[in-house]
Amino acid sequence: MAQTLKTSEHKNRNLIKLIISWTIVGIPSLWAIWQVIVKTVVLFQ
Amino acid sequence: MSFLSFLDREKSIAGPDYNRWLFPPSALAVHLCIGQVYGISVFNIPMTKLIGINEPIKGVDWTIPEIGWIFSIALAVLGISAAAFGKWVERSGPRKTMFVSAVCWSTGFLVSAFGIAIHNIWIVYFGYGIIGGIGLGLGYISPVSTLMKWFPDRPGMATGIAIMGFGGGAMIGSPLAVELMNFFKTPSSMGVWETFVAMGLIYFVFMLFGALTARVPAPDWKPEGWTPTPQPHKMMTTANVTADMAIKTPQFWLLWIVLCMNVTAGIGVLGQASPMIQEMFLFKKFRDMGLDEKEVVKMAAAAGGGFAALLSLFNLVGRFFWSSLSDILGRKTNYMIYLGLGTVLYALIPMTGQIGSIVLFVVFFGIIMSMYGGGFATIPAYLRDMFGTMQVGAIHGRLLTAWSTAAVLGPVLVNYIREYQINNGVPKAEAYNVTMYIMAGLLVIGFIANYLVKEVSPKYHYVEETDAQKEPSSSQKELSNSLQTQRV
Repeated sequence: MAQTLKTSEHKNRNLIKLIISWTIVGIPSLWAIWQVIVKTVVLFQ
Repeated sequence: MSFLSFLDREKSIAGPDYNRWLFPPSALAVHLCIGQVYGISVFNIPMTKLIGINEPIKGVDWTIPEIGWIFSIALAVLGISAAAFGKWVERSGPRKTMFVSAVCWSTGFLVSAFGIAIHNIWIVYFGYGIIGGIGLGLGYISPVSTLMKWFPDRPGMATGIAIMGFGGGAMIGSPLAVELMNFFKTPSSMGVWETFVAMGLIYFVFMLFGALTARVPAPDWKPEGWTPTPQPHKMMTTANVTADMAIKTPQFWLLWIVLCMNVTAGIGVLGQASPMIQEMFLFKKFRDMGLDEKEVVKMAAAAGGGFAALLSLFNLVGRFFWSSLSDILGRKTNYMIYLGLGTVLYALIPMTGQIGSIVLFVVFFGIIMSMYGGGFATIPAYLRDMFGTMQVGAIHGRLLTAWSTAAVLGPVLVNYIREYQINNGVPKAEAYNVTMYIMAGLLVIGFIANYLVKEVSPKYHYVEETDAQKEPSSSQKELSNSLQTQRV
């Protein structure tokens, strides 16, 4: 029982770390892609 | 310095519960920052007006060619430092290397800010070009071999993620620099040095996040449920070749040619993308719409900028897409596609101008740029297939001298050929045709070099010395010491 709880706790902690890490690198990347889309619209207008 | 011992490789070995998908964000954090180097041209115009503010003052303000050297020096130093420090990177692990890279990269910005503030371009060359260039070289190769150790089942995809970040760095760095310059601009300042200070600090924090979260797998770690096959296919070795031995193999130099040709062709066009589409299509298109000449120039410049941005996106996506595909098709087949299809597309570009199809022009260049990015992203996995994982980071570092060479060769080829044509009376819209055929020719050379790549002969493989064997030479001792350090 204690072992199962510990494993589950580790999994949750890993999931939180994954979300935080990917968000930190994801936000500037998505902002950059948005900038490209805005600029590209001019090309095909 | 013992207070920095937390950066040591042995202190960054992951525990059994570590999720390997945590490492790609660490790698991305570094590559997204150093990739800014491809967006440095955003400072070109503001840097020519540091004294004059509204207009450049001839003989006092810096010229575009003078400013262009900042990029060239940085890329040259990238290749040199990656080659020189490759073995140290392998020994020290990603955390220490990323940290040093962060220090160099941000110091480069701060030193350059000082150079800009006192208007001394030599300080900028030293700051961004030399110090920043070292940060670039270290940062570029720092996560590569670790990624392949975390993802032995998908090495192409893993390195593709990190190297995709390098492609995305310019897409973040350019608009960020524009926003910051607008924020800091005053009637007496272009806001450039202030922007350099701000970017140096932002990048340091971001890269520090990457360094501190980086972990290496334990030596006996492997993905759950994955069993390494003895030798999946002929072109994928299970042996190891040291960095010093790798440069003695024909395979290394064939891959050097492959990378150099692929990058020369891509880099030359990437820098000219905006003026090329304007002169081949946009001026005519906007004139036909009945706009006055001032409007035509303004609209063409905006649309040209959009095209350059779109190519950056293709370059970014191609890094991930093609390198992931190489895990299925094999590296050699992938390069056959980059170089073979690239040749055909370059040769067809003039035709798009003749038939006036801007859509085909954009599609062809989009595919070309995706394969240019793919070439960068697939090369680490190709090296791993050829030379094993033992010193793949160091070998990759040495191969990056091909990139430095291409960074000089590409723009020079495109610019000089174009100037020569225009001086000989060729219309501007047609002046790119010969360049495209030359680029196609370069890719043919790369195609042949890739075709000639065969598996590395066993005589180059690393064999561990035993006590029974004779006293090792000094270079073998050095290698042995470095390997022992790695295994700590």
